[in-house]
Amino acid sequence: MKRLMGSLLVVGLLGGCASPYRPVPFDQATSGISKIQVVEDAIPAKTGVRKLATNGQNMAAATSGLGLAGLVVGMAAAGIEAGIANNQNGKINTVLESQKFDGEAIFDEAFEASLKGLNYEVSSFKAERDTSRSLVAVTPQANAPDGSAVLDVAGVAYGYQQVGGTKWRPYVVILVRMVDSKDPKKILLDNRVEYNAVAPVPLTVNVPGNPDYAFDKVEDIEADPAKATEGLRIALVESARATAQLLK
Amino acid sequence: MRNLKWSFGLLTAVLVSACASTPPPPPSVAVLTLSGEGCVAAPLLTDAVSLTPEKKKAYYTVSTLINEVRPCLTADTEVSRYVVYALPLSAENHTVSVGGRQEAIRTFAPSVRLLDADGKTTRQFADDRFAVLGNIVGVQFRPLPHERYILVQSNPKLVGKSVNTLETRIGTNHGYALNPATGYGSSYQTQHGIENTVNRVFSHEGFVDVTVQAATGMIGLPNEK
Repeated sequence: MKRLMGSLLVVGLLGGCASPYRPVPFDQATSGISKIQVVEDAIPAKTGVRKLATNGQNMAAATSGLGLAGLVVGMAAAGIEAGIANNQNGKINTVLESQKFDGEAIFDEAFEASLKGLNYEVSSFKAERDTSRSLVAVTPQANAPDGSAVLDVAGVAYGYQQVGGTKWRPYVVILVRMVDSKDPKKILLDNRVEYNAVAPVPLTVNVPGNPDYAFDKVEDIEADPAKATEGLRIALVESARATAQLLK
Repeated sequence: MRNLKWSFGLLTAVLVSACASTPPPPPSVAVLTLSGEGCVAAPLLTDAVSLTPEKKKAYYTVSTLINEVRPCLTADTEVSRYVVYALPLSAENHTVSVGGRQEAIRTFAPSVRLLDADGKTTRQFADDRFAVLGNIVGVQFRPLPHERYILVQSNPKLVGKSVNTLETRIGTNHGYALNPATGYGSSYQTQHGIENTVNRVFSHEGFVDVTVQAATGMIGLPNEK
């Protein structure tokens, strides 16, 4: 009984500590912001496969409690799975390169087109983004005019994903943050945009995937490069529009 | 003996009913028309649902079922159901996410506006401000200091619109593995992918979810630690 009470207490405490992500919404009409510097390098140069609920992960989970032998089997399965994913990633990127696919150009064009309708004065902001694709650190600009802000649209990852035996479909994950140019500690906007989210994060923006662009296996992606490219183009354009919508 | 037979029969009935699985209730369907009977021209602020939790919290979610017992509004020829929420004190210290919940086959068609203490509209969110936020179709905003209420009403222009959504999710199976070396076993979970295309229709009725999060301190208490 004491054990049960103890467990309940722990679960209760953990549940009590869990706090959902708090977005910072932006409202153009009441914000006073008219000038936006957009951080360069929004989208990674290459796509990356995202594989969830794989056979390797399941095998590792099933053998995790079986001592050293189980650990070895689990690690071997995870290693094999990583090798397969790496190979699939290479094949998909080769397909996209053969179509001269430029994800960053597609996203930037769609994002800028959406921003134009919002009448901001837009310029670019040069900053080094690290390999983890996280948001950049913005230093205060004492001479920045009033009503100016720095907008960071950090594409964390995009490409094709497969979830535990489902079809391969495009996905995009983007972090968005806008801060005051003079005082970057003042966050004007913070959110996350995900195209074809598997586990939608509460209170963040989800863009449902287009059901027309699906492939049973990577070989099908290789067999139809035009369709594979178009599916990813649509994912990036939809994500760019959803991101720009946060600036209304 | 007769009592014994009765008891046996009763026991059997109880056991059978305990084993029989009760089918889940059918999902609520979209409500596409309202009669307009008994509707009012302006929302009643006195019935506002409070967004301030009884205990101190930094975030708080309120879910409201909008159905036939909820009041309705008439404006020109349009009729809609509505609910009014009262914002916490220091309203500007909060992030509010509000919208219609994506239920099995319907979504409350939301229209959202903010009101001051007198019930006068201060802001209304255009249709293009709405997005899928987690599991709601809604908007997010930080109230202005003079804003006191949120009016959520069904949007007649949206009601009846059907949306097909592809949803990819992860399902979980539970297993048990025995370690022959030790004789002990352990439970484990495996995961698999699930894909569905869900068709939902926007409705005058359904659940409205509101989440309030304090930027500093607690809800209604910005200086609380």
